[in-house]
Amino acid sequence: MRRLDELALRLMDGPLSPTEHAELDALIADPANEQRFLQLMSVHHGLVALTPDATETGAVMRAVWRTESSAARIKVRRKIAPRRRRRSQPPVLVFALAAAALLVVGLGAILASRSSPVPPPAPVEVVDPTPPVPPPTPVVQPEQPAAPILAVASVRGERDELSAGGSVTASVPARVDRVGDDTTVALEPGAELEILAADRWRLTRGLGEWVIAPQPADRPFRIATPHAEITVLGTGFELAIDPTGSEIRMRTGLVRFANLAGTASTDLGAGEAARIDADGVLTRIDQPPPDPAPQPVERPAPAGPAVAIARWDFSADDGEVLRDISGGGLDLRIGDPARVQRGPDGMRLLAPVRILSDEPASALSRAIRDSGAFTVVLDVTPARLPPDYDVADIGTARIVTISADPYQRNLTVGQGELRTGWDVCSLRVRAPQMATSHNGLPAYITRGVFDEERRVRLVISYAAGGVMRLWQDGELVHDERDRGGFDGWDLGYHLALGAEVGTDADGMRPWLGTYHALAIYDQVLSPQELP
Amino acid sequence: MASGDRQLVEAVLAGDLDRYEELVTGAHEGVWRTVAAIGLDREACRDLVQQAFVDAYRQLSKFRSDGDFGSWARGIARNLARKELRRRSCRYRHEDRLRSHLEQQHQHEEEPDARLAALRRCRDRLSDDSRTVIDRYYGAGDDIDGIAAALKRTAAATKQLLWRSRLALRKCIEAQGEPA
Repeated sequence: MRRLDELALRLMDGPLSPTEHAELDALIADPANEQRFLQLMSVHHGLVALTPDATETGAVMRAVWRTESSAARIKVRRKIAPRRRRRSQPPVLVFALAAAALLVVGLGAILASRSSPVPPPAPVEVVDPTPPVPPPTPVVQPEQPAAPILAVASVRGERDELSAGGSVTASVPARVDRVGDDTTVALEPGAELEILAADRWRLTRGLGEWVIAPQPADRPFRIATPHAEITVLGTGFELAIDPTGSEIRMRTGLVRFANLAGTASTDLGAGEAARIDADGVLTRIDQPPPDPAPQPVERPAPAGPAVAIARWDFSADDGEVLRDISGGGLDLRIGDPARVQRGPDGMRLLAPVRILSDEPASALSRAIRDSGAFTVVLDVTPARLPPDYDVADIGTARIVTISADPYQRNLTVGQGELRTGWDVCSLRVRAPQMATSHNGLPAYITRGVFDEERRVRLVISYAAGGVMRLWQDGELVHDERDRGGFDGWDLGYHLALGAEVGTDADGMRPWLGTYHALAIYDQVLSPQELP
Repeated sequence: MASGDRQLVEAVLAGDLDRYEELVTGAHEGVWRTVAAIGLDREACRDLVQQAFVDAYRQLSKFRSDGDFGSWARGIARNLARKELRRRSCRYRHEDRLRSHLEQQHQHEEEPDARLAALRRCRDRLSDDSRTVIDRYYGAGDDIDGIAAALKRTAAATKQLLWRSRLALRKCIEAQGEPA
């Protein structure tokens, strides 16, 4: 085979070395060779063009749902703007509204339209239950104080403030944070939330996943639904409302779940669930007890501190071995120890190097698959690739991956967009609807995680068929629900750091930077729940 | 088609975001080809295609009611692809030449279809095993080991078959006199 052909063919399948690039340059100085090279490469790119990725449509739609679309923003903003409109009301109306604030669901669009030169742009689901008040005598009207901000609604960067009476109808996944503590609810599209008071919110319909910060014992947080009321002292749970009832599934903590008449109630702890139907009938719908069969990896007790199923010590210098100090036995081997530098601050990758498990990460993958959930805690400082490295060819840099090669994976946390290798954290979880793909597509992609060369602590949690969340330095920056699952996880894949698993000694898709900490759990955890 | 697109776009703008998936499905193949024509690998193509549809979604209110959504989305993708070409640095002569070559091809919107049609004809003339290795490598995204197992060959022999198949396609294209 011609050397020109060999180099071109290899270029189609992966990066060439700088020497080979230079050799190829020399060969195409001959116009005939250049023509042949261009023809060959055109065949390759033509074959790529001929075979669009059929799984891409799903990824596109996920990206669209995530995007800050103007349509979505407007739709949410219209629902959560009563406070701004209220500022223009006559004082007597404001007084009446304030007096009723703890009882009412909101301000009516009729009130808004009385003093507004144009009708409100969309129906606002707030009403004023107080009797009609005669219009005030037109005297000098003092500046009315703004209503206190009780919560902030967020839709991928768009933030709107909510006061008592404000409501949110989520047309895309949205989050509402309580002002004053870390209480938050993630709303699914279609969910509707009203802020009745600082300590009393109402989920009218749809699904919300709640994390309630610890509350004073004498001032519990209360959540109303059309069928029930939940009294909370600090916990996490999922609350689903449909016309036939309200259903709660506990994750952590303790709540009292009662029907509206107060005739039936139950206390629910972690892992427990109950439902109150439209007639007020309360039913416990707890999950059956876990399978008593022995588990491959020891699980933490539900109420106890979380225990990692893999955790590596980056500061200890054990030569070519990176020890798993969780007790799980998943030690990793550094391909070339001269390319790393270990110290009290962690392990720095000085040059592309793969750090690979000797054996497949079967126990770890099995534990995650069986539990249906994982949390990856990653504390790293990214570094730019050296200038002589061909970033145009390396793809998403692998920070941690459980995979077979660049195309078959259980899970990858990586960095890089269009091979610029900088500003994206992508998390790939194989999804059951992608049965023909072994690449875990579509990827969860979050921008802005690695914008600069600074230390960042990421907590990534995922539950099968549930919610993927990413916290960056303690702040929730990505939150979405998906149909992904673990049924297709391959227990034969190795775990690698710094590069992709494969035949190349240094690995493909190299990542450079410093690992300060890395731990993996087989349960969903938030930063607050981590040891 | 344009009438159907208009209805779908209006539905999306009215808040029925699920209808956008129908627009994406209909336009996806053309957008993919537009992006792939600039010479990125599959992973990069996925990113650009995704970005093109996200941008199209954001600009949907600008979509002309008498237009074709696919053409409009391809235009957005083409602009993104050109930006990406300009962004990529070429440190080697062969990269620079390939980029210029692909840029020239990109100037002529009709040519990719002719090139791809010629390539498809050539692919259809390959032997069964060659066509299998090409289809699995490019279409299904399988790796060499997976294809080797399916063909009951060694990985080395499968890689050689993939390489020979590409060379055969180049030769076929050249013989057809089609733009390569």
